[in-house]
Amino acid sequence: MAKKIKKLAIANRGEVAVRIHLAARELDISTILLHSEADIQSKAYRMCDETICIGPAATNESYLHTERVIRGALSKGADAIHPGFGFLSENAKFAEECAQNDLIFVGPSSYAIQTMGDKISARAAAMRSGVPVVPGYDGEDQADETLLKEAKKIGFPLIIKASGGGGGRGLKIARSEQDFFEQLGSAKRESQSAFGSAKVFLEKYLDHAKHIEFQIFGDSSGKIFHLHDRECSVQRRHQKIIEEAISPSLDTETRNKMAKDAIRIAESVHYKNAGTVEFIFQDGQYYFMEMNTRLQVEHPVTEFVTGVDLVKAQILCAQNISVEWQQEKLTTHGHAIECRLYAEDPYQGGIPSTGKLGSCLFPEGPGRRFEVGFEKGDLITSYYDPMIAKVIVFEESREKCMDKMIQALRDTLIFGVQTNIPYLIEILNHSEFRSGQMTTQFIGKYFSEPLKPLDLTEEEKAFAKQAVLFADSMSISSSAEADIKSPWSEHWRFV
Amino acid sequence: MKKISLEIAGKKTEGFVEKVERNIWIHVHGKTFIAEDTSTKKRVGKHAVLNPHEIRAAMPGKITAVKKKTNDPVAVGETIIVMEAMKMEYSLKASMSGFIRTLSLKVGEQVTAGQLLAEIKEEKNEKN
Repeated sequence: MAKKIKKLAIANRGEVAVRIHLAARELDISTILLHSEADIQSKAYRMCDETICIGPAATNESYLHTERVIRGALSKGADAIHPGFGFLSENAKFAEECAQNDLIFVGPSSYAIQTMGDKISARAAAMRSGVPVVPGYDGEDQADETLLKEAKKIGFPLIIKASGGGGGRGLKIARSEQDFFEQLGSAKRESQSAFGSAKVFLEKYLDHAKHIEFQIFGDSSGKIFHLHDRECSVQRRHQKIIEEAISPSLDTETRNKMAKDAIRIAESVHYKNAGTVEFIFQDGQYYFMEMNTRLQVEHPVTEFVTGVDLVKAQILCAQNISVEWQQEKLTTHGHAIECRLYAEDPYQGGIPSTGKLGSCLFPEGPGRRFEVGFEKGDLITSYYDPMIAKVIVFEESREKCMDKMIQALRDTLIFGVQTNIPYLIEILNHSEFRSGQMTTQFIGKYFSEPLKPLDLTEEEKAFAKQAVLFADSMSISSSAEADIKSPWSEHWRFV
Repeated sequence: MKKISLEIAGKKTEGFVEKVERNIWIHVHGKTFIAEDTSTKKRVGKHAVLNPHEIRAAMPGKITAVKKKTNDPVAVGETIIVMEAMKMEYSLKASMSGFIRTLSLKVGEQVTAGQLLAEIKEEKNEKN
């Protein structure tokens, strides 16, 4: 049953909300931003055709509150909801509730989300499809003694994961038996607060592995495509920081095998829409890790090397319109890298840096793409993920791509909060990253300490001294320019 | 924000400067930094030396676990408090060995950035 989308509700925030709005606009679809009280100062709020406040800043009263999200979408006459990533994007119940309310959920079926979203059933599906998996425990018996017994069987170090989760929350490493219960408790609490379930599973920890994932897309025609791979080995606390396409580490034979396996897993749940099959790769062997049944943060690197628009493809698919791709024509060329810009202080070990943004500059250039969520005058709060923007660059080779990224980061200016830009530049200059040999241990091995205080040359110090005098005399305060009226009363209407 | 061009030691240097809230921010040669905090006149780039006797919240958040109580012995690296901020858990660990002098937090309590959460001292409290 093909149904045309005229109005798309965006159940997300930040740069991805902007991304979805732009894709919708190209398809002549109007957008409604479903936002929290805290996000009235954001780029998406200013850009979307309509907005509605669905609750206070706390995520479980707004972005994670399925009833309010659906009510918000219906109140403005939306016929579809795009969940973006995080929040409700992998919530099978939400996908179902959308359908019950005659709203198209831009994503896979709730069956696919449920099967793949739960790491335990995903693993079982992979095993049934003949795809290699990492040794682990995924039983229903969650008693502490059982978990400890299984942990010993797998051996230390091991990973404890929230079975409902993704993106590093509720994910801990126990290095020894002594450490096990502390990490287990922590994983269970994070899991409970982030996903509403304390269920965990255990897995052997591969200690020099790479993270390599395959973008797949299930067309409305039923055909499943792969859009090649990405490597995301540069991770801190299991959150990706730098991603690239394609991986510098795979030979053609392994790459083809992995692509086939990724498609096989997607086929096992008759997957429709965009998804990602994540593998862990060590010593030439790959193992299925999980499948993310949504758009990924790092989708732009795939878009650069394959030339497709994944978000538009998602919206088309949701309307039962075929993308009309041919697998053999989905080739890659060149290299793309993405860096996530976080509001954090790299000189203090990356603690979040909150506050009001001053001026920001994201200078365009050949092969540069900036996905920006917040601008001057916007507040970076501690309620949400501190990502301000993403920088993505494209070049003919990996070597040139890394250099281009360094230049793009040096040109990027963000005032008002500290950012991880200096940290990203150091990573991009690191010999192990340059060689393409980095593993998921990379950050822990080389970047566990805060960066050394910024080293300014005499020239830069002299510049700073004069610039300060200049700023004082001009009194160029950003707060006066960025005076934004509060539209809360106007938009707070139905909750 | 102003783009400024200055001649320093005979060389032209371009950069950007802006006062945001109380701080003067500068971007020059691909480096961004706070040149001056006008409220305290403190030069930034140099961070205060952390006092190992104190455990402070580096950011606002919620306490999710309290592992120790007053007078408990602690070793370097041992977790004292676990807090949640920006949806991640952070373990606050002892950076010196000793005994907990003060700690009166409850799980679920909201804390503000810079709030003193616990103190460690070398000696055990005297009984009184």
